[in-house]
Amino acid sequence: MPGLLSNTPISPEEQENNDRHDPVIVFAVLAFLTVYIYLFTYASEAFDLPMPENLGYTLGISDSYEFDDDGNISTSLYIPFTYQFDNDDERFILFIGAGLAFLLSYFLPLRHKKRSLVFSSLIIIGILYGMEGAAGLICTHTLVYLVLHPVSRYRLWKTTLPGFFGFWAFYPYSSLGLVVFIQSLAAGSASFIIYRYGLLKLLNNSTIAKGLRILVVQSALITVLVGAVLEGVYGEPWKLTLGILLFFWHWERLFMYHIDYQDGNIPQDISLMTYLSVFLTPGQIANWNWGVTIGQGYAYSTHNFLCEDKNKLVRSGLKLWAVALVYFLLGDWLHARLLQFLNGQDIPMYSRIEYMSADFVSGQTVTTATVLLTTLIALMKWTFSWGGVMHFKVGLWRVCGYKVDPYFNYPWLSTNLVTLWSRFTFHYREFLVRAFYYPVFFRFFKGRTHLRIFTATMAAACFGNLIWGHMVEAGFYEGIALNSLVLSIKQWPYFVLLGLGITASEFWLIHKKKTARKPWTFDKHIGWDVLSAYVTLQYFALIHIFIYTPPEAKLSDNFQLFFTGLGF
Amino acid sequence: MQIAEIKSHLKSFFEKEFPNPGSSIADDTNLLDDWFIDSFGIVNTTLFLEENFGINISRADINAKNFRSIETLSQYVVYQLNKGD
Repeated sequence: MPGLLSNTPISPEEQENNDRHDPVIVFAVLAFLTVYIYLFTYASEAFDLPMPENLGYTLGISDSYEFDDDGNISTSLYIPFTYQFDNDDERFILFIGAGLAFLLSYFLPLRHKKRSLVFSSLIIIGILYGMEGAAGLICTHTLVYLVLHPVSRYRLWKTTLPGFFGFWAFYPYSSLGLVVFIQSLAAGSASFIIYRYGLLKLLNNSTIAKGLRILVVQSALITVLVGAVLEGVYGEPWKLTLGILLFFWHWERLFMYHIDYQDGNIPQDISLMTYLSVFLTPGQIANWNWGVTIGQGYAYSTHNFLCEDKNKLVRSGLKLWAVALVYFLLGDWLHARLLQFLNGQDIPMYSRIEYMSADFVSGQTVTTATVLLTTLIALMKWTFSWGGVMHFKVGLWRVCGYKVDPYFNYPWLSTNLVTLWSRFTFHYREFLVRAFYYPVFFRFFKGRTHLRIFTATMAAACFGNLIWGHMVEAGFYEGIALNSLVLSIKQWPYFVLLGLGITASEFWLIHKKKTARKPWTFDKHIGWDVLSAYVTLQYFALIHIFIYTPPEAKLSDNFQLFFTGLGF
Repeated sequence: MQIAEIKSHLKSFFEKEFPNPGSSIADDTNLLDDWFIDSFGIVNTTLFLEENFGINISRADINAKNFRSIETLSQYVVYQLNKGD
């Protein structure tokens, strides 16, 4: 069972024992990054080497394989929210940065490893997003740190950081100058005074301190809601400063950090650097807004750092990079071939669920087979696209010394929705369980098992998933505007059906006859495993009709299409 | 309730709810890595602990320290029972 509660505290002595060098491993990591650089950037052109397309031509595969327009391989691995460089150059910076981060964390003494990862991340972020991005992150995270972990006396120097870096985040200057530097120092001094003589006094009051902690942890939700109201009043969407936007994508992890804080899992005297090391790691930089829960909160990331032999960790990371490579290279190709094959069997197929819905709304006949296969293959394509990126990200965490669970863990082996919930988007599911399921489960309807499970599941899979997991993110994706929230809330049937499906699976797991047989044991019952897995995945795929819906589709249209898929 | 009795109850529960042919469960068997079959096992175990020992479990108690083995779970139950006294 992947990583469930399996993160027990690790001592520095154990970490030291796990910190042995192996030159072969170092070579393997650099070789992997070289392959990534070759396939997904322009590096080969710069070094006068044949581009991947030319190599494909030499190998005789260029007729059946579609290369990117620029001669290398198209990939869903990218750097969002920045236009400073070309996509391929951004990837090049990421891969070089990942190599640097790996070498530093691998060879530096234990006490400097996490620090080096923070600095490596800030350097990569600084190059990719500019001063605006890096400064915004330092400003916001330092502010959160100061609220959650109040400082006094000699540690008060840290209170200058939000002001100093906030100046650079909100008023980005392209060149450094003495005047600008003095202005940022003045902003730092102002933040010191505000903290020392205002905020610190408020934090001494336990009720106000609790309120302030909730305010900073929920700042993303509050901003999105206030922004939507302001947009309604003034008619102008609110554009977030880059560094703040990057910080808001740390929101779910901050939520889990706060749960660790409430549970007493974080040391009182945690240093700023240790706090930052939870959030600023190279593994999160690619596709910043995807898989934002990877790494979870303080306890998970801290207890999983060098918790086993680092070379074993790196090897497992490289395996994930190899799987990611397969997804990147073959995902789109397989998807296109599958659609082509099914269309050839007289089953009209759509490359996206939205296109099928649009045709259905316009009056065209859509058969049950089309609905079932289109939704299932769309889910497969999404899994390929996300799977590649998530395996790359988790692989990078592991290469840097963290035993982080895979985001996707053979989801196609799930024989019920509860298992799928664990195997599919694992870290996001952990967020929903810790933030919503447990608080409800351990507080309400004790003694009434079914009602207790139902409310806890709906709180997590439906309510938390919709409001905290999707609605707020819709604001970051589409702009902080009322319409983004409304469009997101209109997807409610997906969340309700997911919650009901998981609840039904939980009830079945409680009452089913317990047998010693494990799923996917190769015996006469394996046919049931295949059928259960198909039904599980098909149901999950089918309810995506309510997510990927064209603007003209009404709720009744979506339900009609859903029931068409069910054969009605 | 004595700790030996608690361990016996827990052992019966795990053998019945999460049967694992070919392996026997001991006091120090790692439940998280070697016994539970899915995440719902934690919820199921929580329900069992509450119903059978009458203890009140909170979210913060759901951690690897308590759920690691029958030994740690028994100690947790004893602690909760004594707290109730």
